[in-house]
Amino acid sequence: MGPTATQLGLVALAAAGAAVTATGNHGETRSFIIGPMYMPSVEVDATSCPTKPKGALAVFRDSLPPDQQAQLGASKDPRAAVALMIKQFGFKRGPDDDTLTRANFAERALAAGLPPGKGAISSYPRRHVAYDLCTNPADFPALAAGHQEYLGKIGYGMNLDGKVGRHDLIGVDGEKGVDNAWYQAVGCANIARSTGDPKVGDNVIVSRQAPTLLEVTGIDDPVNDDSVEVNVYAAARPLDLDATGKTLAWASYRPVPDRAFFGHAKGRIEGGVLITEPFDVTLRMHESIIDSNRELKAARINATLRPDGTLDGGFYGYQTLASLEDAYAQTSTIGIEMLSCPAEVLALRKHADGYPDPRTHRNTAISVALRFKAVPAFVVHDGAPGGKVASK
Amino acid sequence: MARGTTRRGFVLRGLLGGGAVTLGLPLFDCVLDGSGKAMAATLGGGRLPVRFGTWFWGSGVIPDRWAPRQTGADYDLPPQLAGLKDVKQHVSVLSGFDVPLSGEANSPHFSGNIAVRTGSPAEGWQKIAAPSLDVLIADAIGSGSVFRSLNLTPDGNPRTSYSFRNGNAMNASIPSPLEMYQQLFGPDFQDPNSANFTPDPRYMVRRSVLSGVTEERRRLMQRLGAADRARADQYFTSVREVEQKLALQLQKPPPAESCRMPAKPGNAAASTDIATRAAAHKLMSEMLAMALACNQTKVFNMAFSIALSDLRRDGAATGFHQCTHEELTDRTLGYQPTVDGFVTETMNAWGDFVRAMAAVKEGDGTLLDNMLVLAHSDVSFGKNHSVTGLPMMLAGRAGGKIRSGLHISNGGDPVTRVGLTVQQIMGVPADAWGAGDCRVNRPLVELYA
Amino acid sequence: MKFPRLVMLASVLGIAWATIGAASPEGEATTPSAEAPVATAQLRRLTEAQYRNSIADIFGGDIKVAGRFEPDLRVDGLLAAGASTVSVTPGGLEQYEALARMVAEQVVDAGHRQKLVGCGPDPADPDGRQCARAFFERVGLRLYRRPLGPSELALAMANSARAQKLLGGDYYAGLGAGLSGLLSGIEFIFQIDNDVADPSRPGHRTLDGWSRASRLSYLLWNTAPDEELLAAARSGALMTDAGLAAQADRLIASPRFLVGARALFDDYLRFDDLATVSKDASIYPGFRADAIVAAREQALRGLVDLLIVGRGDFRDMLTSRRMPMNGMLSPLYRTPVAEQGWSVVEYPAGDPRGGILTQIAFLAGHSHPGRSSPTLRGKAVLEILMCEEVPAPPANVNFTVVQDVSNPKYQTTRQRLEAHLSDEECASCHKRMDPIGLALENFDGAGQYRRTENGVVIDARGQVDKVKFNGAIELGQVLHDNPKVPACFAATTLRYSLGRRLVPADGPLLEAMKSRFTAANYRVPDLIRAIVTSPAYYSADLARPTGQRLVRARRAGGQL
Repeated sequence: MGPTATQLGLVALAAAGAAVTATGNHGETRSFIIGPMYMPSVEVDATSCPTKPKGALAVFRDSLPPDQQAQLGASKDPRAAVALMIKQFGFKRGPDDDTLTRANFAERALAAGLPPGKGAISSYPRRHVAYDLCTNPADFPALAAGHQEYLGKIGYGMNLDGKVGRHDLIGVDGEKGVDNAWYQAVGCANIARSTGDPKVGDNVIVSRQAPTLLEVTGIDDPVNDDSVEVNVYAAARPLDLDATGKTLAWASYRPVPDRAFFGHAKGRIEGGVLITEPFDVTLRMHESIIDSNRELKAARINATLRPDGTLDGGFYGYQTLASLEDAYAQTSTIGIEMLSCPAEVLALRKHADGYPDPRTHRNTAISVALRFKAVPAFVVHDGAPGGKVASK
Repeated sequence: MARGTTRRGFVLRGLLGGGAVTLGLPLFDCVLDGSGKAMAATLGGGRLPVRFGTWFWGSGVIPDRWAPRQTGADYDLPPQLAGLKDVKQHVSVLSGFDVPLSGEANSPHFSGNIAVRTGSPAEGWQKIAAPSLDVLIADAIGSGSVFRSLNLTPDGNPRTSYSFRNGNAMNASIPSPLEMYQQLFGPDFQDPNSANFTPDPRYMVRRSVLSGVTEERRRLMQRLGAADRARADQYFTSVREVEQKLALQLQKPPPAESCRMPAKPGNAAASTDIATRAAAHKLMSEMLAMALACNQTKVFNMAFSIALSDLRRDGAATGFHQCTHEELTDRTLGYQPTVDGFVTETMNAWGDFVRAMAAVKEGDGTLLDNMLVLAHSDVSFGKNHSVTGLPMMLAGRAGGKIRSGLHISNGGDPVTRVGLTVQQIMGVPADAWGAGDCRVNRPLVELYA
Repeated sequence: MKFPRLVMLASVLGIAWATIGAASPEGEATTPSAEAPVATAQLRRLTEAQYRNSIADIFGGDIKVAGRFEPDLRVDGLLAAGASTVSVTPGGLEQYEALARMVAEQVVDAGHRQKLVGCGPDPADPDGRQCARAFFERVGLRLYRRPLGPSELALAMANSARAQKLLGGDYYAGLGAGLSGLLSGIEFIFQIDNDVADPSRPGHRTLDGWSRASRLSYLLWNTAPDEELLAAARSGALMTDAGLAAQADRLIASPRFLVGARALFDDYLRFDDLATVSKDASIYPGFRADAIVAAREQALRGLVDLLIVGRGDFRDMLTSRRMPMNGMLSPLYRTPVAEQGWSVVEYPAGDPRGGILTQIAFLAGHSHPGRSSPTLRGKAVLEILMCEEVPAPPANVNFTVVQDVSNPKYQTTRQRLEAHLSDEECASCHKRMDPIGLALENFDGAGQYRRTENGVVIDARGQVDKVKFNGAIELGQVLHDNPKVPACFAATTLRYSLGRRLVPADGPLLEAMKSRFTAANYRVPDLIRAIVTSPAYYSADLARPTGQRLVRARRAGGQL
């Protein structure tokens, strides 16, 4: 009934005090867990967004002959319009199937009558195969009408390519040459606007089921240190909330063993700001019906270590179109009123500005800015030396 | 006394395998209680019952801002009572009554409260030998309703109660709106206005198995010491009371014009935040008004906060009680502002309570007209634990027996004069009450109508 | 006189009854003299935990026991001692009656009756009376912790038969009603001592075997006596030293002893008060809704591991750097944990955490919702650990406090409390409590460690009994070395075991137990074993206030 030797003190690492890291780097380790993370937007106006982007349903309605529009418009219920849309465009939906995986998708999709090579898995309300404007946006260019690109000059982000291009943005702090083509592509869209507002975004925890851990090692001086290292992991369990519903500080998390979600970079701390070299990393994103990843290339972290122990800043780099489109694909027809997948995806493809495909020469990634707020946490690894822990 | 199938008397003939077996437990009430006055106050007599209750709050007031300046009817409303403006005519304020300590220690937040409720101060719970006055009143008028008395608090803690037969026998409180609803309006609730009534034999069964006299019990009582015997007696008395309550369930309750089933409340957690507490208190007050209108009880105790007061505001490190001792008097205002805020909100809650009772029509007037409520605290000025001028208030007109809306400012008589007065009004045969320097025999005749 | 009421009750219920009414309630020839001390209680109400455990052991753990219990009363710091002063209020009896019905209905329902009743009306027993008799005899023995007397058995059977008729002939419902009556009985709800002439000491009285079984079981396992213990009572084994020791050793060796030990520690540390602790969410966001429950569990697990399983030195609870930890508490301790469930952490030398006074159950349990309280913590150390009552203020204390209107800004709690200590009226009490609690100021109201308060480095110096210390670790060591602490625990454990306050006649037993505790290097199982194998523990000489008996007891001295 009492504690056994194996129970005792298997915990170490990431506590305050000296610790030897895997790379042999001495110094303190500070770890964090990310709560809110989002693509931030600035205030828009008639110059930056002259027209309001339309959701796919509105685009469809507007494309109908007037008498049909009147007929549909008479009833406030959008379901008739959606049904018509589905029929006209030939969207398909397979039966509910909780055993659907990416592995058996092709076979199930064929069985459900989807066009070969098309469609994706959608999860609302239960898993099913679907072929529609969001799984294959390029098949429905007509629904991209009415898209409004962001024409403003200001936007969040960093200068990723070292150049000040003609179409680059100016950062919110005045930095020139900011690369955030994502924002230019879809910044006017409803979703970008409301969830991108920092007043909202800074307080909404996303991906609670699959949060991201940051581990900063080799810290000799938390204000100015020319050599630190950063590890990024996906946490193996959901995020804990505190008594006010915000991210709980000082909880302990194990990383998932899957190396696909591991990222590593060297960095430095200048005046309390952590800056890393560019590195590739895939961040988990599991938010309500979307179970997707953000695959980032050449991402830099630029974040401030605050006196209260929190870390806030952002990832700045290139997100692959594939991972962006995977998230859109899963929305299926859910957002059909607020969002036009064809409009946004086609815009993203058009504005993609990095990582050209060697065969097609088309860019496969787009510059983004991902803002986050993180609180202190413990990252727990197995088999670390020593059995003693320290409280902070 | 009335026999037969009255609300209080009840005879089952031939039901138990032959012979006239009188399950007439209320028979004992007549023989052993001798409470003839109680009979007159019950429902069968055709008059509306007069109810009694107490309302308690912890940590007192700021006397200068609570006591009115003018006496008599139409008194001025001081700042901490401003929230009672619309119910002022129902509320009497009693100031200037002290707790004589007779050389005993002033046990902070305790002595004063116990003096008001039992007739003399005490230094600790174990030293209290007398029942609280609500228990005395319930003994006189409490039988004949489903609950002899109801003890309530919105603070989530069943130990927040100042109703007891002695210091070791506290009547625990129902500590939340949801539990109050479940106990009062749950499966055992008989709607007095419902057209159908079928006596449920399960009540008979429950009653019949509760008490049984056995040879072994007799021998037990013989060998117990006096103190243990008294405790065993208390157990048997409690059995009897529960049996009486079950017997009532077998009779159709007389109609109650204002009785309505209240809505079931949610399951909000109890809180020490004063705004949250006040909201839960309001819910429980309104439910209590319905319980009274439905004649579930005639005696109740509501403790808004525990003695010493656990109240605070979310986000503030220092609560009511600490403020009374630590907050400095503001030089411009002349009083402790945070303390003043807490007291005022507590008095506003008292206003909510009065309002809830006055909102129910009954007979020619309201429920409040047919009740008498004594509100009091455990100290007067929290900062120095003073028990001079212990704040007390009355609400209601006791069925027309007393006037309301007066300010009586006394010159230092013991607080027990108030306790004596309310007992007499409620029909407890007491010419005098209290012990030592707290013993009094003059009621407050100024109150009588 | 209260007695005739019972008499009339009986006759009205049609129960045949022989010699009633003539019996004098005193039952004894001598009238107690005015100077005779008050008898020690023979009735002790089961605590809520004891009630629940008893039902689980007698009828099975799947029997639901839901509802409120009449709150237990704390006397001299122990709920166990309050058990011998409380009775049952009408509200309390309603609750017991509801619980009794709930349990009884489950016991006889279709899902349980095969296992728990095991018989019914059948050709050999058409009206089921033999089944009922066997059922009540078996269950009654377990519930009343002694065999049912003939009149009790007859009553239970009569109740069942009557109920069966009233309920349309449902046999098992009738049985359930009879069981409900037993469960509502004073004989179940209270442990009732019965005494006999002491076979080894003529002229003295001692508890009979059944009472001893009850004591052993509720003390060591916090539950009703099991069948083996009841058999030992029946055979008379518990009346012999060897038989008593054998059962005591069996119970202490069992894993179930950990439950009994937990209950002792829980009462000793007054942890049932933790149920009403809540913290301000915006001031202490890390203190989640279930944190206080986890904190209680942490403290109890730690004590059981250290003192019972580990048979450690009791005093080490004040200094031990090992403590259980889980994912609910670890953020408050800022300690990493390998798993969210329970594990054990050990803090290194030099760490601010070590000992029970640095655990959240103590720190948060004796604080306000939004801040720490040196006063509450100091009071807890004095009262709980040192058995020293903080006295009530003396009579005629003038509480009119000097009003300093210069309005300084207090930055630390120590500064705030200076006002307590500088005014003589306040200081009379506060100078005993505050200096102890001030040593714990590095832990805020939620038990989280802090170096500074409002930017000022915390000064954690304090003193107790003229011994000075700086900070919680040193305080723990000072209390570890203070002989009052283990002496207090020994006295508390004796009070807990006896289930009542101590009286002067208990003096020799108390001194003996304190010595045994010291001699056993402060091992708690040894202390408890010493108590339950001590003949004086079972003495019933104080049960009745007769002058003769008491004089005899004094003359014989304490034979331990």
